Amino acid sequence: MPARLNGSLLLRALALLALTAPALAQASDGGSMIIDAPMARPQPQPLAEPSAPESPEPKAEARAPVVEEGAAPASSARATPRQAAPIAEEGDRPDETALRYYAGRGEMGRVNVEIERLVRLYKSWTPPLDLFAQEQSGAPDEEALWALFSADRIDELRATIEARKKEQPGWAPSKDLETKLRRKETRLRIMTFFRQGRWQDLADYVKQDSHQPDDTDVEMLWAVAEAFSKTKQTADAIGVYRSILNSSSEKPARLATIHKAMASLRMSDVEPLIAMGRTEASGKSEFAAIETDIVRARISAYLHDERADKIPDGELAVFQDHARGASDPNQAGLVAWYYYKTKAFRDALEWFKLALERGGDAMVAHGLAHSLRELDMRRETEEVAYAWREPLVNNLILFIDILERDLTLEHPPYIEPERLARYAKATMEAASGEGAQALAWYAYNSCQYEVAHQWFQRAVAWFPKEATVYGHALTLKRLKKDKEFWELMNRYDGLFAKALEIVFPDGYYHPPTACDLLAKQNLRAGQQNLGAYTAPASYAHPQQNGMSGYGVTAAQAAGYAPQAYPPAAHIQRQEFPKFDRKLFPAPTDPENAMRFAASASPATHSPSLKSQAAVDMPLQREPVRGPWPLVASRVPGVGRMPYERYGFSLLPGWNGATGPTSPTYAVQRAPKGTLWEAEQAEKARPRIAFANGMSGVPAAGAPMQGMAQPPAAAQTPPHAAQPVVAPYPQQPPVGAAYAPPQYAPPYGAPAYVAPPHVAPPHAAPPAVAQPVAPAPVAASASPPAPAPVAPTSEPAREASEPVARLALPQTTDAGALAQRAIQFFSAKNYAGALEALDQRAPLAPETTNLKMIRAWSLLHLQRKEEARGVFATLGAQGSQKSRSGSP
Amino acid sequence: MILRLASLVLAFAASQAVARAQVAPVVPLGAAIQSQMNAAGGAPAPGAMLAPGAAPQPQAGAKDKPKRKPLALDARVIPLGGALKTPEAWQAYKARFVTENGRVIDTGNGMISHSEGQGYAMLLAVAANDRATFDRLWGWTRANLMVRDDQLVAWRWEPTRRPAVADINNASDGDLLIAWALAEAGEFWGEVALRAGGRRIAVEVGRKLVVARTKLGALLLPAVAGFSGEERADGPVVNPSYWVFPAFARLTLVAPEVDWNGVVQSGLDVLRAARFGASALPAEWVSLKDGVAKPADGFPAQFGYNAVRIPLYLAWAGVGERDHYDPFVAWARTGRPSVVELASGAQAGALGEGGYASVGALALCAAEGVAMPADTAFARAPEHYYPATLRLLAVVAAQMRYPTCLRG
Repeated sequence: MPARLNGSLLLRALALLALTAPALAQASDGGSMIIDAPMARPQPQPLAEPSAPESPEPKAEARAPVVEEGAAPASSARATPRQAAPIAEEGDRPDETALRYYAGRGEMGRVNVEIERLVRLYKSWTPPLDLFAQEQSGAPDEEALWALFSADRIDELRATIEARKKEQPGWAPSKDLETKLRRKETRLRIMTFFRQGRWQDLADYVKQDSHQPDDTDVEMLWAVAEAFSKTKQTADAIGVYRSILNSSSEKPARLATIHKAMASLRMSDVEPLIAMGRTEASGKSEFAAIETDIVRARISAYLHDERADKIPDGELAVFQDHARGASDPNQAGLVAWYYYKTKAFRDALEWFKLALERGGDAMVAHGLAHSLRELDMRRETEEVAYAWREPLVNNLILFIDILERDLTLEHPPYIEPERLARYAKATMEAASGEGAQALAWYAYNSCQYEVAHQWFQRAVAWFPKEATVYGHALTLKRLKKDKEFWELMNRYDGLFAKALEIVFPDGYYHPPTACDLLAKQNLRAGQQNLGAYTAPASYAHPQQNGMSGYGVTAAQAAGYAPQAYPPAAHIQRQEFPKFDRKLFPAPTDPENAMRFAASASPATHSPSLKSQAAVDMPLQREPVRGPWPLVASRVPGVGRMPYERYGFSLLPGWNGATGPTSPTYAVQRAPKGTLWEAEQAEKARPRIAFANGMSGVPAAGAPMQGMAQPPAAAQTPPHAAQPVVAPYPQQPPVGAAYAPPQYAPPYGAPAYVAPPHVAPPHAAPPAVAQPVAPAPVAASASPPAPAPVAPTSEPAREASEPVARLALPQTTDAGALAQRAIQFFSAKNYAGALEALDQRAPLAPETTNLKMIRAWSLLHLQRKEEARGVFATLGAQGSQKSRSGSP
Repeated sequence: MILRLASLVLAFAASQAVARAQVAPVVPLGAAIQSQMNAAGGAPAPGAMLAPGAAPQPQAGAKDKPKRKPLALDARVIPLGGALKTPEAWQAYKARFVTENGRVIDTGNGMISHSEGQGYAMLLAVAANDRATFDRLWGWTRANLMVRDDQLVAWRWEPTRRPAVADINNASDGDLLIAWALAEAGEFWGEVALRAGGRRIAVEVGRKLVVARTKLGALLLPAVAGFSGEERADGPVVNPSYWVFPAFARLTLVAPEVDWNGVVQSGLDVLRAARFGASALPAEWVSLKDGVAKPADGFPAQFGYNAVRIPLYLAWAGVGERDHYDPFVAWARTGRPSVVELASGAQAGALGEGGYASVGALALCAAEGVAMPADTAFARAPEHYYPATLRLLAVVAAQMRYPTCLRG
C-alpha cells in the first residue's frame, strides 16, 4: 500500500528546524547585543575594568550572544552614545570602583572619562570628595591583588590573600575586593559550568544559599535559567526569566530574555512571559519587535502538538511576509509544514515549492511530494519522490509505494516502459519486497508469467506476506512449476489460508482474468532485460467488461479480501479437490531459503572502510534437519485453514491454542492512542484512495527532520548511463526545477511542477490507458476508463474544502464505490449497495461481480423482476463459469 | 531461558484468554510457575505488598550518604559500527549460534529462533564489521519472520513445527533491535537498502506500538495484539525490558519523526513507577492501568529473564539517574544473580551461567565505577544462547561507553 503520512509525526519532525531559527536570528543580531547587553546592568560592572588597561582584548569566553566581561569602560563608552537617556533609576548608586581604581593609579585621563560617564548615567551624582584618599583597609597595597583579580587568576589571588593574612596577622583585604572577589568567583564558576554543559552542577551550585548569583548580571541569569530548564526545573527557570523581566528595564536584554526563554522552554511556558511585555507609545507590546521570532516559535509549538490553537491569521501573515523575503528555505518550509498539518494541502504545496526554489533540501521535497499525494496528484508525487530518492531514503520509499497501487491493480493503467524500468531499478537498489511484489503483480496481470516469477521470487525472499506468497503460487501454477508450487503449499500450510485456497478452492465464483480471455500477445518484445532481472512490458490490455472492476487489486479481485465474497448462497457444495495426496501434505523444510541481494553498488565512502572487517569463517549447518511434520499446528493470530471445511483439524499451537484466531491479526483493531488508530479514522477521508490497496503495507514516508542532506557531489546522476532505457521524449523536463541540485529528472515531470503560469490547469495526464481493442460487450457506448492517474485541479479543490463528515463521504471514484457496494452487501445493507452501484454506474461499466451484487441485492429487496433481468444479462454475456455461479 | 519463555507463554496465553475465550488456558509450564508463586506467598495480589512507592529503598541506597552526587553518565551518540574490540568473541559466538542460512539458534530452548535473537546477532555483526554474516542474518530474518502484512516481525520460529512461524504476533523489542541494527548497518556500510528496511520497521513501531499521551507519556506496547487497555482488564500491560534504550537515539537516523525521546522518558518513568517489594526491582510484566504500576495479572511477579536486560540497556545508552540504577546495582552486588520473587524479595532460582553476571557487572561499573572482570568477553564454560548474548552485548556496551570498566 502506498505511503501514508501521518501529519503529526511528520510535522513534529520538521518543526524542530524551527526551533533553531530563533537561535539563528539571535546569532545574526549578535553584534548589537554584544554592545547593548552590558547596559542591561544598571550598574556597569567595573569588576574587570582594571583589565582594560592591561589586556585590551577582552576574553571571548561566553557563547553568542555574548556579554563581554571587562567591556567597561571601553565598551560602555561605545554603548553610551546610543543610550540617550540616563538609564539608572532614581536612588541608584553608581559603582565607583573603576573611578577609584584609576584615581589610585593617578591615571587622570581615565578618571575624567569615567567621571563623564557616571555623570551622564546618574544625573544627581557628583564625584566623591575622597576620590584621591586611600581606602581604609590597606587599599594602597592591593594593587597587586587587583591585578590578579583582573586577570581572572582567582586561585592565585586567594592564595596570596591567605599567605598575607598569615604574614600580617590582622590584615584583611578591602571589603570591596572581598565582595567583588566572591561575586566573580560565583560568576566564573557558573559560566564554566555553562560552557561545559554541566547543567546539573550549575543548578545545584546556584541552589546553595551562599552562591546567589548577582541578580543584575543578565548573562549569568540566562545561564542559570538554561540550567534549570535543562535539568527539568522548569518552574525555577521560568522564575529566573520572570525576575529579569521584572528587574531589567533594558529593552535589548528584555527581548533577548524572550529569545532565550523560547529556546529553552515550551512555548506554553513562554507565553506568560511574553504577556509581561510593556505597552509602548505606539500601543504595541515592546515584544512586537521580535514578533517574527515569537510567531515562529508558536508555529513550531503547533507542529509539535504543544499548542492546540491554530496561528491567528494576522500573526501568520507577519511570518509569511518574513518567509517570503527570507533567503533561508527553512522559513518558507515552516509555513509549508504548518499548512500541511492544518490539511491545507494546496497552500502547503505552494510554500513547499517556494522553499524548494530557495534551495530547500530533500526533506522539503518530501513535504512537496506528500502534499501532491494528498492532492491526489500521484503522477507528480512519483516524479518528485524519484528525483529526490538518493539524498533521502523517505523519498525512495515514497517512490516505491506511490506506484505500488497502480502496479497491483488487476487492470493496471498503462505505464511507460521507462517508468517501469526505473521502478525496477529502484526496487533492486532498495531490495524492496513492496516494489518486487508490485512488479510481480503487474507482470502477472499482463500475462508475463516468467517475469512475474522473477519478481515474486524476490518478493518472497524480501517480504513473504500472504498476498505475495499467494501471487507466487498462482504464477508457479501458471508456469506449471509443480515442485516449487507444492513446496510453497506445504511450507505455508497453517499460516496462509489464501495460498492454500488455490488447492482447496473456496467455492466462490471468481471471474476470469484478462489473460484467461485474451489470446496472449507477444509481450516479450516489450520486456526490458536489466541484467539480472527483467522489467515487465507495459500493460496494454483493454478494460474488459464483465470482469472485476477498477481500483481493485489483483489479490482482492481473486477473493483475497474476505468482505468481497459474494453471499453464502453462492457457495457450491464442494467435493474434496482432486490432487495427488502425496503432494500435500508432504514433509517440507519449513525454512524459506530464498535470497536475493540488493543491486546497489557498494558505497565508496562509508565509516566501515576505516574499520577492520571480520574474518570470514564457515558457519554451522542447520542443526534441525527433520523429520518434518505433516500436520500443521495452530498459529496464534491466524484464522481457519480452507481444508478445515472437510473436517481436517490442526494440532494445538505453541501456546496451547486449539482453534483459529478470529478476527485474525490482519483485521485486528488498532490499540487506542496509537497513530494507527488515528489513521483508521482518517481513512474515512475519500481523498486517500490508498485504502484500496490490498496489502496493508503500512505508511511509509512520513517525512523526517534534519536527515536531509544535499546530494553528495560524488553521487552519480541516476540513470545517466542506463543502457536499456531511452529518455522518455513526450514531456518536456519541466520538473527539473524541483529536482535536487545535481540531477534533473530523466523523465518529464508533469506540467504542474512548472511555474503556475505555464501549467494549464487541466493539463492532459501523462499516462492514460490506451484501449487497443473495443470492449467485447459494449452494451452501452462505454466511456473510456477513468484514468487512474489523471490529475486535474478538481479533486485538489475538493481536497482543500472541509470534508463533510457524513457516515460515508461522497466519492466519485469508481473503485471506491465498488468497494462500498461490496461492503454494504457484506453487511446486508442491500439498499446501500444498490445506491453505491447506481452512483458508480455512470462512471464505469459494471463488472460481473458487481452485477451479481446488484442482482442479489435486488432479490433480497424483493425486487424479483429486476433481479431476474440482471441475472439474465449475466447469463447472456458471461462465460460458462459465470453461469455456473448464478442460481 | 525456560522461565523467561514461560513468562512469555503466560503473556500470550493470558492476553489471549482475556481477548478471546477460546484459547486454551494456562499451559502446564505456567501452572508450575503458579505453584512456585503460591509457595513463595506471592500470588499476584499486588495491593499492599507490592504497592509501588511503599517499597523501602534498596540497601545500597540506604548505606550511602543522604545526598549523593548525581549520576553523570556518558550519553553521547556513539555509532555501533566497528565498536567491538574483541573480534574473537564474535567469531566464537557466531560459530555456536548462527547457522549458514543466518538463523540464530536459541540453544537453551529447543533450538528455536526469535526476532529478538536475530536482532541481537545483527547488532553484533555490525559491531564486528561482519557484513557477510549480517547479510545472512537479515536475509533469514526477512525471508522467514516478515510474514505479517505489516512491517513488523513475527516473534517466534520453531523449526520442528509446520509452519515454522509459531506465532504471528510481533514482539516490540525484536522489532526495535532489528530496526536499530539496520539503521546502524545502513550508516556503517553506506547502504540505502538497509536504511530503507530499518526505516520501514521503525516507522511501523512508532505507528502501531507507541501509545501517545498516557499518564506515563508515550508508552511502548509489547506487541500489536494482546496487551492494550482494550484487550486486557489490567491493560495496558508493558514489559519494561522492551525499552531498548540504546536503540532510540539511533533510530532517529531513519525515523526521526517518531517521538523516541518521549519513549525513552516513559521508559525511565515506568522504571521509577515499577519498583516492587523490598528489592525495588521491576516486574517482568507491568500493568499500567490508570497510570498505576502493578505486576500484571497472570504473570509471575518476578524480576527475571526479561528484566535482567534492563540494566544492560540503561548503561549501554548512558541514560537514567542514580535511582534508576540502584535496584540493579544492589542486585548485582549480591554476587549471585538470580530471579527475584518480588513479594518476598527471595531468590527464585539462580541465573547460573556467567553471562547474566556480566550484565550486573556493567551496571555496577557504570553507576558505581566498580571495574568489570577483565575476562568478561570470554566465558569460562560454554554458555547457552541467552547468557552468551548478554555477555557479548555487555562487552560491546562497555567498549563503546565505559572503556575503563574492562581494564580492571
